[in-house]
Amino acid sequence: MSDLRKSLCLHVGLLAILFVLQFILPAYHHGNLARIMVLAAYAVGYNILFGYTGLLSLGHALFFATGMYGMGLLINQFGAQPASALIGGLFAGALISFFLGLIALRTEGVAFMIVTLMFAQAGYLLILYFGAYTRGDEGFVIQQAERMLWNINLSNPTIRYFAALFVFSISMLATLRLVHTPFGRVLIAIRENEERAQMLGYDVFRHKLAAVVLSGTIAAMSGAAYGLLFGYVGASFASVQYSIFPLLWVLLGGAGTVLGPFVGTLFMFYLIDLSSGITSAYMLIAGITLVLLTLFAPQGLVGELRRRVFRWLP
Amino acid sequence: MTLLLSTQKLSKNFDGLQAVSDVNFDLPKGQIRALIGPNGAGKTTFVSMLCGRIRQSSGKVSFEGKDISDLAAHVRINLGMAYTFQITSVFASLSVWENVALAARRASLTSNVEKVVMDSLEKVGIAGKTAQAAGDLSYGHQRLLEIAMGIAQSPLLLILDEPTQGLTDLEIANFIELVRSLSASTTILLIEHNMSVVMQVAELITVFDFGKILAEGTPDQIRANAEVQAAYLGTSNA
Repeated sequence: MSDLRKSLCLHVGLLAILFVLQFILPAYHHGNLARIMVLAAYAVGYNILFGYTGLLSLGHALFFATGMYGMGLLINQFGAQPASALIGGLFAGALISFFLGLIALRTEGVAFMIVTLMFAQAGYLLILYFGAYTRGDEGFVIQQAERMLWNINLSNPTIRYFAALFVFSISMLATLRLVHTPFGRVLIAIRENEERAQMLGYDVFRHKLAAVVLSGTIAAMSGAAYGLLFGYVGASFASVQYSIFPLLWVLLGGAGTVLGPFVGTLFMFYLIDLSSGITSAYMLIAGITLVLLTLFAPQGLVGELRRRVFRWLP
Repeated sequence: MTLLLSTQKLSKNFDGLQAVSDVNFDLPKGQIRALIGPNGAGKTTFVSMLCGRIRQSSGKVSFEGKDISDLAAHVRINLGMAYTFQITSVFASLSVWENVALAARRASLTSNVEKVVMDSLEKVGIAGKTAQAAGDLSYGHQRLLEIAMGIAQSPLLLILDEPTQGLTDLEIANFIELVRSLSASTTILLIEHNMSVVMQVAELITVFDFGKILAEGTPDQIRANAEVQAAYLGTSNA
């Protein structure tokens, strides 16, 4: 079986398993997994920029929150339908990431991290500043009646699960496709050796900008879906924490692997979930586990698997 | 004889150090030209200004009659230049095949990438190593990979910066063959320290010293030039 075949089987297989789990999982884990899948889509978006292009952003919460608030405010303030609100959120994410990219990509390395972080903080503060519309820290609830997409009730757990699976599937399959396109190969080349890529005649800036927009738009899609499916839009999703999360998920799962973001998100979610069942000092357990993983599997779980066993993993 | 590339009063200043000063240089189409000179003479700085890796302090570069002095490196490469680095610069963790494919894909719109990659690798003699990670190749083979990445772009002008460094005698002989066979379709600008290679392949030699052109001529003329001997051997020619 060719490598391409194997990887297709593996990834489609994962989606099939997730599909089947809908019918098997008890209610608690069922709800968790729906959340994990939407957040994993966020991590997938982050991975395109960090894992494949080699740009470490500390400001992705801006994109996630742009999608979420773009969607939420359209429903809350303008009474938009969920479908158009979702598209609005996505579009806002694409726009914001384009302009942020234009500015932030003038810097590199640590400066890039700081610039993205500062812009994300500015976004967070803007949400608080316009509290009259965003209801600041408190956030706002999207009522069940407003979460009807073409007469389908998105607050129904089964529907919600499938919607989350759908969001995750498109983002994961998009990355899987991306890494096999010439465009995706150039992103990897930029990660490996930027000057060489330029001296082969590639417009490095434009490729990076496209990566920022793609990554930001997927993050915005995840944010919009999260708000709509779970019925809440709040400023905490724009905070620094939500910029750090995708970085951790991707690092744990394996940067620059297609499966890594999902594995990392799943792992971290349940690590906190399970350890908080044992002790109130659950962050200690989580912290130690993270340190151990970084020490012994610096390429992340899937990255380690690729290094040791499955060389063909994309 | 049409000019492919020329420079007018091209200069580069590094914080007061005049690395290249007022160089007027003409390169006709189809020629194999060697650039020689002692270490630090400004050869690499000079060719880096040609392909846009380094921005000139003053002066002009023209390529195919067009002023390209203000164009970014990747735009110049797209006009038909290819550059191989003096200090090996490959995509170390990607496969040999992918390294060359990256070069070929940019240059050819055709779906011929597979063929171009294999041809280029065969020409330099490392076609048997396609699946290896480029970083695992020996130093000499990484040099050959660089050359393969250059010819995969089928450039009008191929700039080779010390290509034979670290190659075995056999590989050097093969390289000389390769350069000769390429010259039918490509103009070649070669920085080289190995004099026997220079004397065998170059049609014309330009000698750099202290950021200026010291001499220019056929291999025989250069060999007989007293100033050049002085620059290399450090003797006085007064």
